[in-house]
Amino acid sequence: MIRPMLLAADLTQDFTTPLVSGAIQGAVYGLLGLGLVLLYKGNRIFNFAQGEFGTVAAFLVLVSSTGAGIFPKMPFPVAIVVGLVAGTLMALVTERLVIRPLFRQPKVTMVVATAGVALLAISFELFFNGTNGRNARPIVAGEAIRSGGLSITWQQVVIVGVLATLALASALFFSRTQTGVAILAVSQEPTATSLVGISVNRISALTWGMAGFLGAIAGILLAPTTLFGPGFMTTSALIPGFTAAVFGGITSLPGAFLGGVLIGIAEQFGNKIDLFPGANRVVVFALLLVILLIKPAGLLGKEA
Amino acid sequence: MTKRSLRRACAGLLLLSVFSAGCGLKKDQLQTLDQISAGVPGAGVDVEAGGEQAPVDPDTGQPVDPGTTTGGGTTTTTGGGTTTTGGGTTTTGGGTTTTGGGTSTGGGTSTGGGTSTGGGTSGGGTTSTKGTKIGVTDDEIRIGIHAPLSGASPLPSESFQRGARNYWLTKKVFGRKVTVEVLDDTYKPSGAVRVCQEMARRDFIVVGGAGTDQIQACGRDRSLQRSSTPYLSAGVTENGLRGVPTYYAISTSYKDQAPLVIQSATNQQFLNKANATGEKKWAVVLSETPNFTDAKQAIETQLKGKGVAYKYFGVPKAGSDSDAVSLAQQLREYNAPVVFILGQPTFFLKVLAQTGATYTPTWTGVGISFGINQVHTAACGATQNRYDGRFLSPYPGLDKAPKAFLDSDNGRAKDDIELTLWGLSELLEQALLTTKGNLTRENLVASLATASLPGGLYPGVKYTPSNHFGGTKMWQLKSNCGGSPNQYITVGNAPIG
Repeated sequence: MIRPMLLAADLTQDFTTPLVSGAIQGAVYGLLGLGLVLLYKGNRIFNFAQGEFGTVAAFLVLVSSTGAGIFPKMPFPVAIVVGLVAGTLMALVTERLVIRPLFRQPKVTMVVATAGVALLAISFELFFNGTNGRNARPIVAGEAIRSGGLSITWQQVVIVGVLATLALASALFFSRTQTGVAILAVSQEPTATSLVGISVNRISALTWGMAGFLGAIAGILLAPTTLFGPGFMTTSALIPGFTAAVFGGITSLPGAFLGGVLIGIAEQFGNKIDLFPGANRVVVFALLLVILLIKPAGLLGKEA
Repeated sequence: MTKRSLRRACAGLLLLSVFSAGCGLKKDQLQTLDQISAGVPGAGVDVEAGGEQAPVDPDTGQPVDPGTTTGGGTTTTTGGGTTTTGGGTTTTGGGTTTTGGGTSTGGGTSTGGGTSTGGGTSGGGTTSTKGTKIGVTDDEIRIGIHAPLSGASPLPSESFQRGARNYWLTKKVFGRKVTVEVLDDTYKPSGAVRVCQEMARRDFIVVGGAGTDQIQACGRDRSLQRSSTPYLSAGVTENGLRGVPTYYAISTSYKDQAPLVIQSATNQQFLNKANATGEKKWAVVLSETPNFTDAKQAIETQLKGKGVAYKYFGVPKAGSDSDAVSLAQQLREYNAPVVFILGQPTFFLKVLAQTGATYTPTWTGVGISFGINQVHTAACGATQNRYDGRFLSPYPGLDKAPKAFLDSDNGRAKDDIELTLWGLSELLEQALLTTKGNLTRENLVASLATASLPGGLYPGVKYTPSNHFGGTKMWQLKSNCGGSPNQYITVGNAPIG
């Protein structure tokens, strides 16, 4: 009787641990995926600078909360606000100086331009920080759940909660508000939209501001869960974020949430395949391939 | 586009490519390292003779067959002096003339013991002999160092650059100043080979600063070997480097450090440390690269020999955040009180960010990467100062830094990266001074084959023609989170081994 009970415990551990930790790690990807989907819906482009909105925000929180460089030492909540503002401002500046002048150019030009913005941002980060890795302070410290190998920190609980809330709020924004509908309209037919009195420039700025805000949230939440340094969001989370967005349906905000979580879970179960190093990534891309072959628009994707 | 214009465009492209290819085949761009080492005239480098030409007996003027007269590390007396000729390179003492130019083909047992007692002028003399003198002039010796200054596991560039030059500010070797250049290998083997080949064209010695795969890639590079470029590095893997005639490890290899890890654990009383439930076991975490296979086997053999239970965890070489999450869970599940780790320091820090203060075993392992204070700072931060790291290192902590180092460069503040480069430079100086005969690459490589370097900051090393991994000792470092100084501190007053 004892043996089946032990087996059940092992199975639970083998199943539950990767499931929960995969969902948490996937939430990280989903957070970044949300911003990517938002800009795809708004501008029909992949934004390679999305990760850097988050990295810049994380750095600003760090220097503001510790009083490094020219920054006075601020209370942690104020430092978070500084970080959020910095990420949003960076997105707005990108929109005004890079995207808007290229608005009538082919989309691929804008995509390459966003990659340029990312590289520029990483260069600035390297200039001011060097190559040093940093430890960020979590928003909420401590461990929420501990069971065997499974450990969930409060910071991770916050990440999942914030992601779920943002995905839901964004979906409602696009389906229930006039501004949301206006963003979709601009992305599909900018000329006609401007003819009916909607300012394309204002909508574009709004979209980028929102994307920057989402990126900043992602960066501030993710930095304490890893060793962060220049370009950390781009190098560690952007590709999984893109994958999550495509997986869930590149036009669906809840899809980004779902895609991120599923990819995180697939990765963690992939780690159980002990055939060769990096097997988890093979699992993720195999899964992506299968989903796209069966449902090319992604799990929840549909036009607009 | 019409068919006609398409054809024109294709024809134009074809012509352009033929023209470009023609430009690329200019004679002066075809010179390879092979040709440089073979002494092709007009190669634009200082070559006195071919690196692989048979050496010539100065007395008879006849070519000497290195395989029959001097191979296998036999000792020969020529003229009036006793000469060590291990490694197959002919060195004839007794006078002031030395003939280099041979390729070290050691493999036999040296009986010379590495002590040339000939009556000839030893090291960097001006007598004209054969051999490759790239990177050496009458007043300068050039050394090239490659290290990951960017990429996945970057070292602080400024410290590395300053540290590489600091030791030589007031030193001369054979009356020549030593100039050091540092190039970034971007933590990639391909990047390392590129910069190593570049440095081999202008520097006398090439040195691997850090990164196992990068060091191995350069050490094994055929063009470096063909140009007889002495390649030295801190001890890492022996895989692929054992038997390379031009390669020398200036500290203990990972494989040979395994018994020292156990010795260190015994000394510091964590070999049989128990967890909260009384279990005594180790976790062994290594990056899955063939270059750590020897280290893995060595530590497993040691643990088995001591009867210590352990479990192996393999991780991808470039571990992602997701891999760090997964490893952290597995380690928590296994709950070993001691973890041996060898891999990318940045990945280690990502794992610590996941385990935080909730799982705080003793982390131990071989040196050099985990023992740098940059890792200490980040590890203490990630664990709320509960990080317990005990790593081996070829150099002591800053708390045992020599006065000469602290006072150098007008006494400005320095970090441990500069300290390790100080120790490395000390050994490089000793290595250069072993050169018997004219200061050529061939003579240096041959002389090192039987040399004993006394060391200083780094423990001494002793080479034989068949073993270029001469290190046997290592320092022990211990974390000191939140303490004073808040950095790795040295355990004991001398290296163990």
